[in-house]
Amino acid sequence: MVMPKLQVTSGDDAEIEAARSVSDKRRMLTLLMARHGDAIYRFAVAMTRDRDLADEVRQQVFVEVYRDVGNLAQDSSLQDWVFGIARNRCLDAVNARKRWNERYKNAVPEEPERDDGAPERDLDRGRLARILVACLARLAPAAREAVVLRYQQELSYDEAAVVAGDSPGTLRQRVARALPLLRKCMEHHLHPGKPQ
Amino acid sequence: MICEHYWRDGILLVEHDEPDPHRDTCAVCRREHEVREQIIRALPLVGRETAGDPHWEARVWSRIARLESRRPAPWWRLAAGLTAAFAIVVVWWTIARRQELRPRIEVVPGDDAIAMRSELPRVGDRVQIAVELTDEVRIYRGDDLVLRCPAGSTGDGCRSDAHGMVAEARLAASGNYRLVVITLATAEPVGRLDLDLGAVVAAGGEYQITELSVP
Repeated sequence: MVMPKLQVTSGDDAEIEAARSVSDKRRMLTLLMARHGDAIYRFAVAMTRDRDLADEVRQQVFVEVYRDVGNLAQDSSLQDWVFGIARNRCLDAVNARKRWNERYKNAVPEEPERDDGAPERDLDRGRLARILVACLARLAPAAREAVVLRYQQELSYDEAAVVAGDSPGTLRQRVARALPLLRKCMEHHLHPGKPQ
Repeated sequence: MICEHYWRDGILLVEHDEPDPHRDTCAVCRREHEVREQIIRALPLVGRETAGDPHWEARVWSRIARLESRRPAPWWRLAAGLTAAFAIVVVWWTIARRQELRPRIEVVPGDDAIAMRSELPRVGDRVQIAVELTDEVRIYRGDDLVLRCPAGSTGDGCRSDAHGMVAEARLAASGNYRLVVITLATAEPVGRLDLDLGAVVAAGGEYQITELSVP
């Protein structure tokens, strides 16, 4: 199955590359924020399950992009690089939150995302997405990252592998093992009384 | 019913873009595959229900502005700063060296000195006068010459090296000692303070005199 690329025209990429070629950092950052800002935010929401944290991650990512873009090799992919930063900041944020919760014994809130009894066919896609967020949070971080990069961000396995720093084959395995868990989790949310 | 084959093996084939002959013959697997497709179609929606902080781009620029205000100065500013610091050190060192070479008078306690003694000089102590190599030192007790160290001399209480000259005399008796440092001394002393200083002035020299009272 051929997945669509990120929803941006190639003209944006050309403008970004033009700004990059003349080392116009401010112009480049403006374009990169317009190009990847929403995608990075959604990635961070899926990875952290926390909108405030996702906002913080997004800001931090683009501050780092501005700071370090001059050190990036000319032939490196900006998209892979930006998502690589986002991945690392998400992992940092999740780990920091975990340490905080462990230190102060805060239980991670269990988001109630149960169906109110309406038939599955009536589920709107927004509710499905919210249930997915809750279920993604139950996956191991590496599995969650693989699923999010591949199917939420719609990167190819090769692109996702660059961001995650793993081989495409490893990511395929992780996704293949994560999807049944997602399916079970969603079943549990949609039909709470049904045995799994 | 859930097809175990699909979620164990079939899905791996799907992720590898490989055909799954079993699915073609298994209605349950096809249904499960459709469930998978629903999940895949829903995943891009995650996080789309909100765009987050509408002012996030402005906040990024604000953080960058703060970052840049703390950024280290460019190389030329650093170089200018280092040059200025170097100049200050050189000036300070020069002044300090000059001060060091000025007549420095020190009373060294004698061998029979006792602990907790007064800081006043006592009979038996030694007085040391450090001067530049071009200066002459004369020590008088009362009006009488006790020690003379011509500029750059060595021997008989005088010691010279590349850094300057040190004149040292033992305070053998009580009385008022006059420690005289003379620059441009051209007149030979006769051994009397007033006559010797008059001769120095007459010859165009200058002197600096320090009184040291030994009870």
